[in-house]
Amino acid sequence: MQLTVISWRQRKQGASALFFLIIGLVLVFPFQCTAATDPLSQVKQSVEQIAEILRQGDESEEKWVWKKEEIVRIIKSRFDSEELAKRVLAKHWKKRTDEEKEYFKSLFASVLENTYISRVKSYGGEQVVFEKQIVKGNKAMVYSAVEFNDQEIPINYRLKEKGGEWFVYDVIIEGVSLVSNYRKQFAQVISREKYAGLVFRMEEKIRLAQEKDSQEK
Amino acid sequence: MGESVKRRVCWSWGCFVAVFLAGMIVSVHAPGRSVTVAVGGASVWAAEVVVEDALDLDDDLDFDDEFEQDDEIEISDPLEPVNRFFFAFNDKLYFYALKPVARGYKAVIPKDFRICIRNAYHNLLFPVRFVNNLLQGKFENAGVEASRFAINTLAGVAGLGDPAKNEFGLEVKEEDLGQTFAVYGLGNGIYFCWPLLGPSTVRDTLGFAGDSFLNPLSWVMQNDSEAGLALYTGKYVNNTSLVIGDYEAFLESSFDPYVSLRDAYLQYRKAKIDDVSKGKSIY
Repeated sequence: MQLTVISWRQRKQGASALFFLIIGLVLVFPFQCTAATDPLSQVKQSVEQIAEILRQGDESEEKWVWKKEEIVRIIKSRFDSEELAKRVLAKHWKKRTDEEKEYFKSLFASVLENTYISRVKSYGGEQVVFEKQIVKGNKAMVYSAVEFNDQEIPINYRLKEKGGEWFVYDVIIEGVSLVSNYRKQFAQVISREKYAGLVFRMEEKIRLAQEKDSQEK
Repeated sequence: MGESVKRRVCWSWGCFVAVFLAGMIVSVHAPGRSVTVAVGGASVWAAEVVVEDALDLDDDLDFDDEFEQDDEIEISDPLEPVNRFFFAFNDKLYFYALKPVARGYKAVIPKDFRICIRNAYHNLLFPVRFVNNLLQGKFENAGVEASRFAINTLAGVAGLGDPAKNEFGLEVKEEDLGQTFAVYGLGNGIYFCWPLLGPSTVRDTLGFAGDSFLNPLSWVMQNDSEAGLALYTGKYVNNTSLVIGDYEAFLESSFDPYVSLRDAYLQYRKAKIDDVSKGKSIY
């Protein structure tokens, strides 16, 4: 009798342990899933990949060409070029034909790549800290800071979710939104020189940046 | 020496009159919503500027998230031709004077030293930060600033080091009179691009003039303009030496640098006023 009670208790304990284990797994697993797909860790992953590439000591020309390609690939996979293009053109976006939209998308992405890659090049292993994220529906803001010359520079990312993945559509450095800043400039250029003038200027910008990059080699 | 003091007083009054006139321009330019604010006994007009062709983004695009509502800052810029002239002037000044000097200086003085000197200049401006924290009712932050000043002046050897941040985790609480005016509800007014000083607005220029009474460097300047000038030059050369390349990159990435700087300045100031980059509201 005594024995059966004990064994029953033991069995009960075993059962409850199993029960808690299952509950625990049920509770933990979704968290683990979200941990891998939340905006902060996705941005962080991309930034760390880029930092990793830049940290590789070899600074030969061929290596830089490869590094540049890799970095552009990582950035492309993390940025939402459509959303970016839409937001920088704002009210002028709707007036464009589908072809123009496609061309503008690639043009703007190329401008960003070519003008900012040289900045990335000077990366000297500065520490990037990811501080927090705010998620609201399919939009999110990720807060980070980079320590540069003993000063902390806050860099925030705005992201939008598409099919379980988060894509950056704006970068805010020290309170200055990149998209908003380009929007103001583009509106000014378009009002003076029409859309064609803007496209021409963008093509020029890319050409100059590429020339400069090849001269530096 | 009496002569130079007189000259300075004259100059600062000239500044005030100019700003006052500018304020008048604002109230004429945008009669929409104007506010009267008493500053030091004088009545100064400023206005929330309503720009006629503000982008009606919300109608065209789905900008539904509240993260973005603050982005669109419109400002009236009736002095654009003059401002563009001074923008070009500052640009030349940077490339022909400031940059070459800062480069030479950078080559001679190690980076850690230059960071220390920047810290010391920053430490000197403690009265500005302290008083403006008080004026904005941020008493806790004023306390932080006072502790920072005490620690950095004593333990940090006249502010050369920043043990307050590194050892005690006390972060800078950057406030100035322009921000205080904004907290009190004063709008930007019109935009200025001053020679030497760069981008500003009516509000921030007034703030800058007011803050100069709390700025030890301008006390020196008033008593001995040569020493003052040397100190200011030292500050700009030193601080520029730490950011060489930033302005060049900015030019490279922009399509209309004047417009880009104007917008960046306004966004940057707004973030400071709202304390969103480092303030309590976010962290």
